[in-house]
Amino acid sequence: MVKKTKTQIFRFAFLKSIPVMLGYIFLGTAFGILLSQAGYSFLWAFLISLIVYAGSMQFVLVSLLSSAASPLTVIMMTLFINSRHIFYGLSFVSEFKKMKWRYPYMVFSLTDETYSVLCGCNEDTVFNTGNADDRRSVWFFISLFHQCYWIFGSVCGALIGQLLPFDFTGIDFSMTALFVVILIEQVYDLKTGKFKYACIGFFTALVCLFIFGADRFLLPALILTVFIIALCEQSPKSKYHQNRSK
Amino acid sequence: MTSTTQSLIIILIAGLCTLLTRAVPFLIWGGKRPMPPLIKNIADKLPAAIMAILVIYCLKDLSPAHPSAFFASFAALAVVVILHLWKRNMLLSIAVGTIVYMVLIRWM
Repeated sequence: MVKKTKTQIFRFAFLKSIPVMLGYIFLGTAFGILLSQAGYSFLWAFLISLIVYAGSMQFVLVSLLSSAASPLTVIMMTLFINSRHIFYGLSFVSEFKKMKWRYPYMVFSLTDETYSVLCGCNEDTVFNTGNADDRRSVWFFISLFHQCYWIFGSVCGALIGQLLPFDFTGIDFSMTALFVVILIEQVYDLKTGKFKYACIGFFTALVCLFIFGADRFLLPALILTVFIIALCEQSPKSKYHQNRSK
Repeated sequence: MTSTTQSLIIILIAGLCTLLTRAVPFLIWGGKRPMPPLIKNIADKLPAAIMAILVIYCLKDLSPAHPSAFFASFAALAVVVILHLWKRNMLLSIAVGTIVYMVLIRWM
């Protein structure tokens, strides 16, 4: 196992963070424009993207700010909109713990996109060395770069958003493409058996979308998916397979 | 307009609550308490499932009632999937797919 230099880690993390760059700068800009229209300067955009750092929540926050919402409303809205994040940390508990001083930041900065990119960046693919320390450094820089893009976008949006000459409509599709690509990477090797779990998530989400509607389906879909995976894992058949494969 | 103090309080609360949702699994199993094997097992299976859910989440607002976004999305998705299965280059798949989408929603 060869340890990589700081520069190599930095460069690799940067490459891995590029897919999110476009999307975050664009969405951040959209947030900045919205916030400046509500009468808040770029300093506020900077502050919010620095300490809240949550995509869809920040858009809702603009209306909470301009309506001077009560603390209770803010608490309820934030917990409700961000409740999906509870599920993201699950896969990283033991890994983040080993990251020492970077641990709190990794937890704080675990957005949908960062979660996806970190999931798509496992031990085998990082430089093909399998060095866990290097991988954790890469993770940290990816998280940090992502937030920098987000802050940059939101400050730019608040400062010059309305002056931009080009119509960027549709660039948010890069986020959809990012999730699709990472999904393909997750299930590409059929031997890992992950295809089954992707299908469970896919169909559960579709059913929940049909039942609960576009605005409310995400949380039930996540809960139901965890429940179904738990049932699969506990069934006698899967235990039989596990024992056999040992 | 909302006062500066009020705004600061709202932002702080939103920040703390966001952090709280992200920290829940770490607060429960981040210390000495080990993760039960079943939870560990589920957590290992979750990324693939969550990624599929997030794809649906991105497409949730599509409806045939707005045909241009509807068809542009599925055409661009097809491009992303085919290109990625073929070349397996993440940046290329995302960039080409996004450009195709941006062109299509302007043309259709």
